Amino acid sequence: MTAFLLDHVNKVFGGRRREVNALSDLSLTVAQNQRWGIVGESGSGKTTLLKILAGLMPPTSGRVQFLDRDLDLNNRATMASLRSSVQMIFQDPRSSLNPRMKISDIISEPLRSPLLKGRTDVPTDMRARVDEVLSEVGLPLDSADRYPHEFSGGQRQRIALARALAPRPKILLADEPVSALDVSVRAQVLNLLNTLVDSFELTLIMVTHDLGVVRHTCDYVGVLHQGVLVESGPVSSVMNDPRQGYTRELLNAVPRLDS
Amino acid sequence: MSLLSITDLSVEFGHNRTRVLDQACLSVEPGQRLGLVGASGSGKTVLASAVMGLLPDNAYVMGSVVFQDQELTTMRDKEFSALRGQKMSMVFQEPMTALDPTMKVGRQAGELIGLHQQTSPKATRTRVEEIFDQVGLSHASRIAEAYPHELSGGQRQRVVIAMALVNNPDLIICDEPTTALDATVQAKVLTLLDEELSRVNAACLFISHDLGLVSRLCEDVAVIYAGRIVETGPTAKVFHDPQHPYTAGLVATANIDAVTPGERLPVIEDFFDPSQEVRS
Repeated sequence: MTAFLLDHVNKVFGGRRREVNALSDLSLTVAQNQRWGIVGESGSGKTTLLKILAGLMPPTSGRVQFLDRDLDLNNRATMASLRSSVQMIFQDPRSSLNPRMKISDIISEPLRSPLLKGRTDVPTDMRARVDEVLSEVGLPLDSADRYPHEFSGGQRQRIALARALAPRPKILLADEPVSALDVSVRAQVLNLLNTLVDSFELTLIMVTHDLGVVRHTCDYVGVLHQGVLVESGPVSSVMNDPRQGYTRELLNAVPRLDS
Repeated sequence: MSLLSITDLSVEFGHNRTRVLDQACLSVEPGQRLGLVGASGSGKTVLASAVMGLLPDNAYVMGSVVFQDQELTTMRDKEFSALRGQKMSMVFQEPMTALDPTMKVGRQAGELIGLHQQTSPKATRTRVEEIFDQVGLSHASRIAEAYPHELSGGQRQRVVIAMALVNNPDLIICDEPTTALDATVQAKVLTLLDEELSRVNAACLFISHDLGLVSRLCEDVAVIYAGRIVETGPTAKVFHDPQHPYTAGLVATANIDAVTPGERLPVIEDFFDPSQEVRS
C-alpha cells in the first residue's frame, strides 16, 4: 500500500496578473513505512507540499491519493480517515501550542474532532490516552494539568509529538521539527522521533533544510527547487552522488565541524 | 592591550536578582574573531547586550567591560551613543526586526553615518551606495530606495551587515547573524562576513549555537554554559580536544554526520550531568 501518491500535482497562487507556481508538475510516490526528507530553500514549495498532503489546501491540478484512496477535501468520510491517519508537527512549538489550553486538552484535541466521532480506530478514553502518549514521549504524567509556557522548547516539541500520536496515526508529517531548537536539544528530539517512528511503524514525511538531519533520519530524499522536484531517491545515492547542480550547492552550503 | 576585555562580568535581572551571567571573563584582541557558543538561555545574548550597553533597566551589572581603555559598565548614555555604531557595532539575528519597516533602507544606513560625522546628504548617499555595493547588493541605488519588506531575507541581512560596517568599526558583535536564513543564503552571507571582516580588519565576537559556523569563521572560541564561560581556546583545539565535559557533549551532539544513520544520537547528558556544580 502506498502512503501517498502525487500525480502531476500543480499549485498556483495568485490571480490573473501575478501567478506564482508554488509546485509544478510534481509526481511522488511514498510507500508505507518509508521515511522521506523533503529539502529545499525558503519559497521552494516545501510547506505547500506538506499542506496539500495534510489536506489543508487542494492542489490546483493533479491527483493526490493517500492510503490508496483519492484525497477529496469535500468528502467527509475521506477527511475523517485522513485526520485519523495523518498527523502533523510544526516547526515552532511556541506558536503551534495554544497558550491558553492545558496540555491534556492540547493532546486530546485531535481526538475530539467531530470528524472522528464514532470511529473505532480512534482511542475513546481520552484521559488514558493522554497519559499513554505523555509517557511515550518521555514527559511526566503531571504535565497534563500544566500550560505550554511552563515547558522548554524541547519539551514543547515533545508535547506536539504527543498530540500528533494521540489518534494513532499511520503517517506523520513534520515541518522543520527541529530547526527552532538548539543543537543540544535537537539530538534528544531526533532520537525520540526515530524511536517513535520505529515502534509505531509510522510513515514519515519531514520537511527540513538541514541535510544532516535528513541523512540521519530518512531513507529517501526529495529536493525541491522553485516548486520543481529536481531530484529524488534513496538518501545515500542522492547525497553521495547528486545529479543536480542545485543539490550539490545545497550539500556544500552546510558548514561542517571537521573541515 | 586587548581591544575588549571582560572581567568577572555578572548580570542579574529583576527583584529576585536572577543571575544570568556569572563572572564571565573574555578578551578580544584587535582583528581577532572569537566565537561564543552555548545553548539557548546560556547567556550569550545577555553578554553581547552588556557589551553594547543594550541591557534593559532592570538589569544589575557587576564586573568590568573595558573597550579601548574605556570602562563601559559605568559609561554615561551620551558617551556610549558616540561609541555605538562608530567604534563598535552589532549585527542582529532577525533582520526584519533589526530594520525600521517604515524607512527606506538607504536612509537607515545614512542615518548611521550622519550620527557620527558631519557629511553632506550627497556624500552620505555616495557612501551608502558604496557600502551596499561592497556587501554584494547589486543595483545599490535601487536597493537604497527600497523598504525592508521589499527585500529578501538575505538582502535584508546584507543591509544590516552594511550598516554595521559603514563607519569602519573596530569591533563587530554578530548575534546569530544567519539563523534566520536558508542554508545556501547562509553560506553566501558567511563568506561576505568573512571577506568584509578581513578587509576592514575588524575584530568580531560571533555568537552562535552552530559549531560548524564558528569553526568556519573564528580562530578562537569560548563556550558558555548556564552563564559561565567553561572553556576558551583556539577553535580547532577546543572542538577536537574539549577539556570540559559540557564542551565534549556539545561537540558530540553537533556532529550529526559522525553518527551512523538511524542510530541513537549522543546527547549532552551522556557527557555531562547538568545537576553537577559547574567547574570554571
